[in-house]
Amino acid sequence: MTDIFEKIDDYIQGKLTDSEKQVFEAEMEKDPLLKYAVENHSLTKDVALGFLEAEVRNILKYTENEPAKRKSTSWWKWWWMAAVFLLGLIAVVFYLGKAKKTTLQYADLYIEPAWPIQRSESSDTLSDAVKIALNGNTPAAVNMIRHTSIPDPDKNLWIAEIFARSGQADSTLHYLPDAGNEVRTRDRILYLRILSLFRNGQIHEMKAIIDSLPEDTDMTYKEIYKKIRG
Amino acid sequence: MSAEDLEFQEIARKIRASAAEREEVVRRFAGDKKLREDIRAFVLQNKGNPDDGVMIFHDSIIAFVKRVFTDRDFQLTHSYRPYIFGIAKNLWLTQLKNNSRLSLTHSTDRILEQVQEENLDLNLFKDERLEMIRKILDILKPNCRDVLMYWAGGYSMQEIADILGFPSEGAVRKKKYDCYKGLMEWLSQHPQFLEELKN
Repeated sequence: MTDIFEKIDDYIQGKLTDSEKQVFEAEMEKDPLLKYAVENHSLTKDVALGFLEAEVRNILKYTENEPAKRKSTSWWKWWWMAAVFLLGLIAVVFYLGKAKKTTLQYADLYIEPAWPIQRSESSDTLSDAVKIALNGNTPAAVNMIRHTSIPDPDKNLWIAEIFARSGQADSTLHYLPDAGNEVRTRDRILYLRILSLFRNGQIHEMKAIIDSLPEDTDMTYKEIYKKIRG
Repeated sequence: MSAEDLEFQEIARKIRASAAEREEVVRRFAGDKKLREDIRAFVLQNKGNPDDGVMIFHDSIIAFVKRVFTDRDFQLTHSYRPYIFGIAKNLWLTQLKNNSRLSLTHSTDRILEQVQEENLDLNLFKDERLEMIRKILDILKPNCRDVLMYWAGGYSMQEIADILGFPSEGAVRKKKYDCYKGLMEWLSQHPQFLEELKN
């Protein structure tokens, strides 16, 4: 496929030949979006790098909230000492629940799956890939899984699992297969979907899935969803 | 290779590898009490308040992460601390200069000159501009954020495929085309956004 947008850099940097430049400029005349893209190319790159900044600011915001939580502990403690014991206890329980909610993070909610690791010396590619993933090399692990002979839905689920472990929510969502009917797999797929949406801040969509979960959803996951929903 | 070289190589690898590994690095910086205290003290000694100190601490971390993410040739042969501290000085003194809260002395001018030689991209997004970025993130299709981010960071299609787990370079190319086109369409329908960024 020809991506005319890919030539913008070359056009701006004067790397196109005369004939290529003519073709590109003719294309720009026909396509207002291309013209707009050329005029705003540098700003568009700034915007895309702004995604990285938004991600880092988000983490920093969480880390700043953590000391704030400790400060408010002493306030609650003061009330606890001043109030009747039972009332104080209820207040502390209430506070702890609230504090957990405000600092709830992806890592707190993530549960490892039962990784298919063979302890023997067999040459199981999936098992090898998982070992590589657990050592932190996600790209190599994903590549290995892609070349295994297991059925596509299983392949995609393990790739999604590996991305979920490294916190790459977009990639997890991209690879997650349909939930299907087998209860354990279905629950895991829905869990990974919900967790990734939570990570991305797509709260509306996440709540919609939680609200329509099958009744026989595993209790472990239900407990996590309760925490997320608060 | 020295311990500092190895430390930086590992930090750089994590910043470029994935959101989770970046988070680990950012948390490490955010929890670096010495770095935080040095920056805070510098800001307080130069007409700032504690809130300014936190803001400059955060902005310096962000500028460092952006630098490492976008410049694959960038190397540090010493600890990250003096470098991030240098960014902090640059950010704060520039801000003071812009706000005319300080007529720079000879010595502060010299500090500013030194850190500016690093040619950092300190074009940070704050407040309303950051909110706009978040708004765009809401309208982008899944996976677009990462693809566009790595593309803007100067990564090749093959590198993006390897990092994000796409089956081929062609698959990334197609995804990037769809995402970029979607972003351009949205931006062209909301011209006030880029106008704001230009200001």
